Amino acid sequence: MGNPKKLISILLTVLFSVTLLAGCTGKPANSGQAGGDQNKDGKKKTIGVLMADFSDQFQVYVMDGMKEAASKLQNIDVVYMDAKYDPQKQMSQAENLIAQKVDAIVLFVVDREAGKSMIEEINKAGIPIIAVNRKLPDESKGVAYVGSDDINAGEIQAEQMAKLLNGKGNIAVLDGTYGHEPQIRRGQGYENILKKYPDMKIVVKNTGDWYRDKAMKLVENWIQSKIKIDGILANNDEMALGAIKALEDAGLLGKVVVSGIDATPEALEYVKAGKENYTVFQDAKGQGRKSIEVAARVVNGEKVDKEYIIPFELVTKDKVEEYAKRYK
Amino acid sequence: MHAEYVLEMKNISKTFPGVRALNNVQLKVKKGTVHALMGENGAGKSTLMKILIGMYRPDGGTIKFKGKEVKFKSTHDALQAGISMIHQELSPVPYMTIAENIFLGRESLYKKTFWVNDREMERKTEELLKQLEISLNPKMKMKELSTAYTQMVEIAKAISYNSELIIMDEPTSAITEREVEHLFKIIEWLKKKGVSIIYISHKMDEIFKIADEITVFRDGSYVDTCSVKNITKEKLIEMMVGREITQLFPKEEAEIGKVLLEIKNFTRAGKFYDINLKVRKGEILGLAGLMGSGRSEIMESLFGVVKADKGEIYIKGKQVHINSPADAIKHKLAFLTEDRKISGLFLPLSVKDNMYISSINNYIEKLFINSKKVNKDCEEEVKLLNIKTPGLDQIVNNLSGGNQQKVLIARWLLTDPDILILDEPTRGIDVGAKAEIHRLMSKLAKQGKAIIMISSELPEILGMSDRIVVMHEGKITGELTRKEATQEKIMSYATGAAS
Amino acid sequence: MNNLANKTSIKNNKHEINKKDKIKILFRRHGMALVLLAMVVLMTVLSPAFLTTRNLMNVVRQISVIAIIGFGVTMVIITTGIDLSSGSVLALAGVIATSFAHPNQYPLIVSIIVGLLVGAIAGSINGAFTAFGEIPAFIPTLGMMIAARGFALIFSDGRPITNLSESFEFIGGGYFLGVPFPIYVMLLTAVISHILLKHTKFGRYIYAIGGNAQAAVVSGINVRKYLVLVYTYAGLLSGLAGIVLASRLSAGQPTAGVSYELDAIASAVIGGTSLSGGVGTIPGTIIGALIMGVLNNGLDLLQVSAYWQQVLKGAIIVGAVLLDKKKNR
Repeated sequence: MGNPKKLISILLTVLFSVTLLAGCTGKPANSGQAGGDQNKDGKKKTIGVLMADFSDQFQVYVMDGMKEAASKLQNIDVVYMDAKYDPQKQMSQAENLIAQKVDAIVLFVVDREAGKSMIEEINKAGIPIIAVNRKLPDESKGVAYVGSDDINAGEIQAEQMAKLLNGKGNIAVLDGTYGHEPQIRRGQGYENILKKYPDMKIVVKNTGDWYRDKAMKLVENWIQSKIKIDGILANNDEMALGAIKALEDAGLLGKVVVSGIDATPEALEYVKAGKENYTVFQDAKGQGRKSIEVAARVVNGEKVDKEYIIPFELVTKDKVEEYAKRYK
Repeated sequence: MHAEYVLEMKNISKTFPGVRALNNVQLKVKKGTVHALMGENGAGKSTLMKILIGMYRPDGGTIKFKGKEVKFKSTHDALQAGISMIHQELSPVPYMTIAENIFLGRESLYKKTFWVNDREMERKTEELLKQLEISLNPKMKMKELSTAYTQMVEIAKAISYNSELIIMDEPTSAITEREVEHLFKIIEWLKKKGVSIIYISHKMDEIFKIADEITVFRDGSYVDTCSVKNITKEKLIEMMVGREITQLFPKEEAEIGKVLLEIKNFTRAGKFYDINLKVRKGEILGLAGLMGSGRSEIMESLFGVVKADKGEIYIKGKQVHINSPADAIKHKLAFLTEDRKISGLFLPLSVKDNMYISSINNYIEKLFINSKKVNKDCEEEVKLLNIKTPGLDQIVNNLSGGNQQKVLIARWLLTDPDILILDEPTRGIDVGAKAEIHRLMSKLAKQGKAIIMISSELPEILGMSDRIVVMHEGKITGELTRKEATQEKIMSYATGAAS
Repeated sequence: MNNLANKTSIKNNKHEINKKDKIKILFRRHGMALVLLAMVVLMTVLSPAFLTTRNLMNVVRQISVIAIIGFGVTMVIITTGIDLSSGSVLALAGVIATSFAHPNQYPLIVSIIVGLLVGAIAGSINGAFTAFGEIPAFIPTLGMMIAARGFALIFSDGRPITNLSESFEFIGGGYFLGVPFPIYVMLLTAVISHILLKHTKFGRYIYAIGGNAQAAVVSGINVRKYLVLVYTYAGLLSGLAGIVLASRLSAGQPTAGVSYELDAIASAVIGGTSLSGGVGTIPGTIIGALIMGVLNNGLDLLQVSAYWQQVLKGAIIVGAVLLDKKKNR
C-alpha cells in the first residue's frame, strides 16, 4: 500500500472505463436538456417527455418508440426526463419544463393521485398534456390519452388460459407489487374472465414484486407444498420466466401452462422455445410512437382524438417472429 | 451511646453463570460516617453496590435501609429512597451541558408543560457548584471538561439528589491530588449534614485519612469489619490478599548499561516542547507530573500513534523513523497505554486474542495461524503473570481490572520488546496484582530491558524508578536520582513551583 | 482472622459451574440454532411437505445468494461498518459478467473473473472512502448502492442480458451429485470465509478493529489497509453472488438483487453478529440466513395469505432476536 490515494484513483478509472467501454454498444439513455435556448425563436418547438422511470424495462421500449417517432419530426425537439418513480421529482421536472415554455408535455405519470397538483400547474401554464400508458386522474385535464387498458390485458391472458385448460383447472397467480395500478387492473381482468368458468379456481397467489428471482422462489415453494397447479397467470413476463425456471428445475415444465404479459424480447424467445405457453403484447413502442405523433400534431395546431387505445395482443408460438420484428 | 445503622445488608449472595460473585456477605454502615469497602478487584465490592442500588437482584439475603427492609427494583427506586452512587466508570452525555447532565432524567419543566426549563436547571446547578466550590459554568458541554472535572461533576450530581447514603466507587482514580483534597472537604461537609458514605478505593493513604470504618471482602466473601483506629496498613493488606506482602515496591537493583533509547528535541505544539530523554538498559525511568502535563502525549508520539512536529529518535545510537505503531513494534518498543478500556483491550474478544494480536506475525505459517503455538505461548504468559481466568477463550471483558492489565502486559511481552513504555501500569487495580506487576517490572529490568514508567502515584514513582524525570505543562522541569528523590521535591517540580 | 486459611476453598467456589448454568451457557452459545431448530420442528409438524430432502435443498438453494453476500457483510459489520451496496453491486457484476458469457465467446473463467473483479473494485472503493475518507461506512456504501445500480443500467441499457452459454448457466442452475450447484458455491464460500475469519491474521485483525479501533492502532495494526481489504472482500462476494444469481435466472438483470443488502444484514444480525462490532461468526450467519429461508418457505408451504406473510415475517424476525437477547440475562 505505497500510495493509497493513487491506488483509489486507478481503481476508479478502471471501473469507469470498463463500464463505459462495455456500455458503448448500447445507447446511453438521453436525459438531455437540448433545445432549452433555441425553442423561442419562433421556429423550433419542443415537446417535453416526463417518464416515470428510465430503468423500467417497459418504459425503455416506450421511449424507443418515442425516439423513433421523434427522429422523423422536423423543427421539433423532444426532451426526456427521468423521475425515478419519485412523484416529487416528477413535479419539479414538470416545473422545469413549464419554465422552459415547452409546447406540449407527454406524461407517463408516476402516481396518479400525487400527480394531481402537477397536472394543475401544467394546465395553468397552458401547456397541453398528452397522457401515455397511464390515464390522468381527471381525463378532461389532458388533450389526449395514448395507452392500453390493463383490464383488457388480464382478460386476454385469462381467456387464453381457459381455452388451453378447457375451462377447468387450478390457477396460481403471481401478482405484481401490491397496490400498483397494473397489478390491480390485471387482477381485475383475471376475475372478470374466471367468473365465467366455475371449474377454474385460483388456489394460491402471492406477490413476486414484478421480479424474476422473487417469483422463482415463490413457485419453488409452491411446488414443494404439493398444491396441484395447472396454470400460472403472472402479472408480467419477468415473473413468468421465474416460474419457468422453477418448473424446469422440478421437471414440471410442459405440465403447467405458464403465461405473462409484456412480450419482452426475452419472453418471446421463451415462447418460441415452447417454454412459456403464450404472452400478451402491450405495444410499448406503439404507445411511445403514437404519443409523440399525437403531441406533434397538437404542437402544430392539428386536431386530435381524445383517446388512442393501443390494443393488447395475444402472442402465441406461431406469431412470435412477427412480434420479435417490432423490437428491431 | 450506639450509633444507629443507616444500612444493614445481611447474607447477600449472588451467582452469575459460571461465577459465584458474592457468598453470604454482610455490610453495616453507621449514620454520618465514612465506611470504606476494600478488597482486591473481583472481590465483589462493585457487585454488592450494584445490588444495593437495584441494578442487580440478589439471589438471597436482606437489605435494611434506615431500619426498614427494602427491595429496590431499579436505580430509580434506590434514588427515590435516598441512595445515590458515583460510578467508577464515568458515563456523562458528552454533547449535553453540565446542567443537563446533572438533571438528566429529572429535568425541570415549566409548570404543567412538557417544556424543559433550562434556566431553572442552570440556576440550580450554579447554586450546587457554588456550594461545593467547583468553579465551572453550568452551560459548558461535558466534552469540554477534563477527566478530573468530569469526575467533580459526577460527584456534584450524586450530591444533588440530597441522598442520605452516597456510594463512591474509586472517586479519585482520575483526579489529581488537589482535587482529592477538594473531595475530602466535600465529604467532611456531607458527614456533618448526617450523610453516610460508602467509599471504595485501593489507595491506602486516602482510606486512613477519610474513613471511619473498614469492611474487607475477599473473593466474594466477607472477611471482617473494623475501625480505622484499630488497624495498620500492613494488617489491612494482609486481610485483603490473604497473605503477607512484605514489600510493596520490590525494586531490585539491576545492572544499568548502555543507552537504549534517546529522544532529542521532541516537540508537538500545544502538548510538549523540546523534550530530551534517555533510558538505559536495565533502567526504570519514572516520568512524573500532574495530569495533562504532556507525559502520555510524548509516549504516543514516540510510539507513532500521533506524529510529533519535530524531534529525533535514536535506538541503540542509531536514528530511526517511527511513523506508525507497527514501526515502533519493529524497533522493539512496547506501549502499555494509560486507559486499558479505551486504547488497550478488545473487550468483546477472548483473552487469547487480546494477547497475541501484536505478535501475530510470529504465529503465521503459510497464511494460517498456528493455534497450537499460540495456545502454548499464551498459556505460558498466563502462568508467568499469574492471570486469573477460567481459560484462554474467556472474554476479556469478564476479567477483573488487574487481570485485564496483566493480559495487556502479556500482549507486549509476546512481542519480545527491548524498551517498554508503561503508562499508569497499576491504575485502578488491586494491591495484590499491583505488587505482582511491580515484581515483573523489576525482573524485566534485570533481564536488560529499558522501562519508561508514567505514574501519578508518587509512592510508585519513588519506589520503582532508578531515575525520575518530572514534567510540568509540556516541559521537563526536573530530574532526580533514586536517592535524592522525595515526594516534596517531585511535587514542587510538578507544580512548577521549582524550576 | 481464621478465614484467611480458607483462601483455597473460596477460590474454588468462584469458577464452579453447576448444571443449571451449563444449560444457560449452552442456550447462550447456540440460541439462534435452537430457534432455527424450533422453527424446523414446528414446520415439520404443520406441513408434511416441509421435511423432505427436495424441499430442504430447495430452501438452502434459495438462501445461497443471500448467504454468500452475508458472509462478506458479516465481516464488514464485525469491523463496526455496514455495506448497503451489496444488492446493487450484485446487479452490476451480474450484467457485466453475463456480457462475457454468451455461447462460443470467451472461456467460462473470463466471465467469472470479470464478475468477481467488478465486485472487488466496487468494494475497494467502499473501503477506501470509509478508511481514508473517515466517513461512516453508511454513506459511501449508500452512494455505491445508488451509483452501482446506475452503472448496471447504463451498461445494459436497461435491458436484461440474455443468451448465455450452457456452462455459465450451470453455476446457478446445475446439479452435481444430485445437489444444486449454488449450494456448493455457498458452502465453499462459507468455508473460505470462516477460515479467513478464524485462522488468519486478516480475520484476527477484523475482530480487533471492531473490538476497539483505537487499541488496534496502538497494537500496530494498519487499520485502514485492513478496512479496505474487508470491503473489497465483501464486494468480491457480492460479485460472486451476482454471477450465481444471473446464472440461475439465465439473465444478467440490472434490476436484480433489489433490497438483498437488507436480507444479508438481517441474516448476519440474526446470526449473532453485533452491530456494535467485534462479534460475529460465519456459521451464525448461515443460521441467520436459514431462519429467514425457512420462514419464507414455511409460510408459502402453509399457504398463508400474502398480506399476512409480511406481518408474520416482520414479527418473527424481531421476536427471534428478542428471545435470543432475553435469555442472556
